[in-house]
Amino acid sequence: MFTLAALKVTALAAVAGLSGLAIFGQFATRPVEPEMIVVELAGGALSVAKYEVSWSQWKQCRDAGGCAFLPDPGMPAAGQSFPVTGVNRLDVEQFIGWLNGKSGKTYRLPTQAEWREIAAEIPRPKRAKLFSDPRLAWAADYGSMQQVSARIESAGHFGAVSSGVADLAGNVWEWTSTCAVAGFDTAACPAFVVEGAHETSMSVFVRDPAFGGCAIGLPPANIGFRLVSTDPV
Amino acid sequence: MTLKNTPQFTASRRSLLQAMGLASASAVAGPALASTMHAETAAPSLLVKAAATDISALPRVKQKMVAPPFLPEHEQVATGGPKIVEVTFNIEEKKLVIDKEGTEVWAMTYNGSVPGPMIVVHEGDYVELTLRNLPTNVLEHNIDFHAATGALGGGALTKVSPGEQAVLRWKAIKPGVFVYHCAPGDVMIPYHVVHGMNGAVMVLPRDGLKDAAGKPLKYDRAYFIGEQDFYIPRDEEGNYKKYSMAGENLADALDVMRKLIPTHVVFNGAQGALTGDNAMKAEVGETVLFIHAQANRDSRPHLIGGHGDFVWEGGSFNDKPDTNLETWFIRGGSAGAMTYKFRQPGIYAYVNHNLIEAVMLGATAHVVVKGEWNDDLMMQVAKPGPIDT
Repeated sequence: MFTLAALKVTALAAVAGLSGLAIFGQFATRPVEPEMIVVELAGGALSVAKYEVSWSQWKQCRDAGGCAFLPDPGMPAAGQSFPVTGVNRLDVEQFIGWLNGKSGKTYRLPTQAEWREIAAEIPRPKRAKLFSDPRLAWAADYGSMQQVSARIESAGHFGAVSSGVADLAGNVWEWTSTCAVAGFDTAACPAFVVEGAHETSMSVFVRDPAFGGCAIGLPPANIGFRLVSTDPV
Repeated sequence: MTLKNTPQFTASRRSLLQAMGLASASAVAGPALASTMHAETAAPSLLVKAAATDISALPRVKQKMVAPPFLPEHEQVATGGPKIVEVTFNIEEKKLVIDKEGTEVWAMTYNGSVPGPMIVVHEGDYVELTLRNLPTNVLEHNIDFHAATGALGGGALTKVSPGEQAVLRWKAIKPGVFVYHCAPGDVMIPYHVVHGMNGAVMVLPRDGLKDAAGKPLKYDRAYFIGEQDFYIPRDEEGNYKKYSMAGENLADALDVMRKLIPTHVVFNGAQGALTGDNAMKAEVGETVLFIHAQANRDSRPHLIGGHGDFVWEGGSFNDKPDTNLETWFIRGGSAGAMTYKFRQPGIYAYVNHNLIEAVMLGATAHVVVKGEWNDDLMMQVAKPGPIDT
């Protein structure tokens, strides 16, 4: 955990160094804030971004010196808004810190429970367990994950749930704020839950999930993120 | 995507390729050679002269080709004497998608699959191959069997242009597993091989596989894993380029190939082709034969969670198999064989244990094994939890 905290400090220091170069940009740049939709969840109202954070929003953060890393755009159609992918959990923290600093808002990642509630309408394909023996629990979910195309599509391509929140059922899995390992607080968490067509978790350092495959199961096609907020609308 | 099959189309594509310097001089000689092969009454008499066996007296059987990872129906121990095993390969240039991102390659295939189908015969049998270059294709092709003797493995006798066929017969005198591949000349040799044009032949000893002591080894299932390295060119923005026909990417592809770093290393022609619903299957107690071929580049198969019980690393069944290996080596341009008796149920990953290639380039397959867990072999004594203090 010491190592992880130290790395985070290093990453932030790198951003501070970058932002020094971009003081001019701080005046020039007004962050493009996400379009929010108010969704009623069991725990109360939550503003949820209609789309995942886009590559152009991320580029703005990078240009302004708020984000140290700029991922490849992937394979977008020209002139269209498409989600940023290939960003790890530490990169995302930089983006949110920059956006909140600029906008005065308090955007954050959804918890896993919030994400599931927002996406409750989307059927999660259930398949019979491959093995019922508890000693084979490690292998029981094999084959339950659908292979999907990883081609990056423009925002809105995968449709919306009735609240209007789009692309929850797409091929971009989303970082959550829920630690995937029991007993860790967020600051020290080594891996977070990533939500999408199936639940998975990723080390905070991973930008691109495995291409070839895991020892068991299927990696998510792409990883991006969506913002939520409890700020008054 | 289908190419329009008209003579003008094919001719213009071919002349285009020749104008670009892509077609070798043998493309011109091809038709003449092929026409002698077409004279099926004349060709056998030439071959009989050199043959020690009276070919005309041998029984003929047709072997139905199946797409990998499966093997054609075959006997493990031969009944009766040598046969002529007739097989047909239709060469088809076709666009394949090789990963989840939708990356495309104009593959050059034997019978439409990467790798091509496996042929299984016994030592002393004859393979009689009809090789057809479909008229929808644009390139010249042939076949070099590492299991065959003479004429560049048959490559010199099988050059066929689009719309032509040739028939080649060769005697299987070396028991083992062997690569075959296209070898039409010059840079076209590696170019065709890294566009999928390769497969394997298994020549079984007539009395079947044996361990080092000569005890028979049987298998309950067999899988053919063809490993393919692809070298896909990228555009200025780093995206994989797409092309409208086979051969069009030649200059770009050669630039990527000469750096020797593949963009993809996959089993059965595509990332994930042997995982999920297409994972290989077995049962506890079954012995499975895995044949691994790599026509171009070294590999190192490893079964995560299992072993290689008996391994013919170099592919020769006349050599005594190694036993109980963790990882074995497949030389580029060769095939090897391994048997493993599954002793535990669950998921096994069959990988190229250069794990960068397995996880980041695609060389991962899975085996789903059903049966009863054996606590004696393995047991989770304590689940992960806080360290004891």
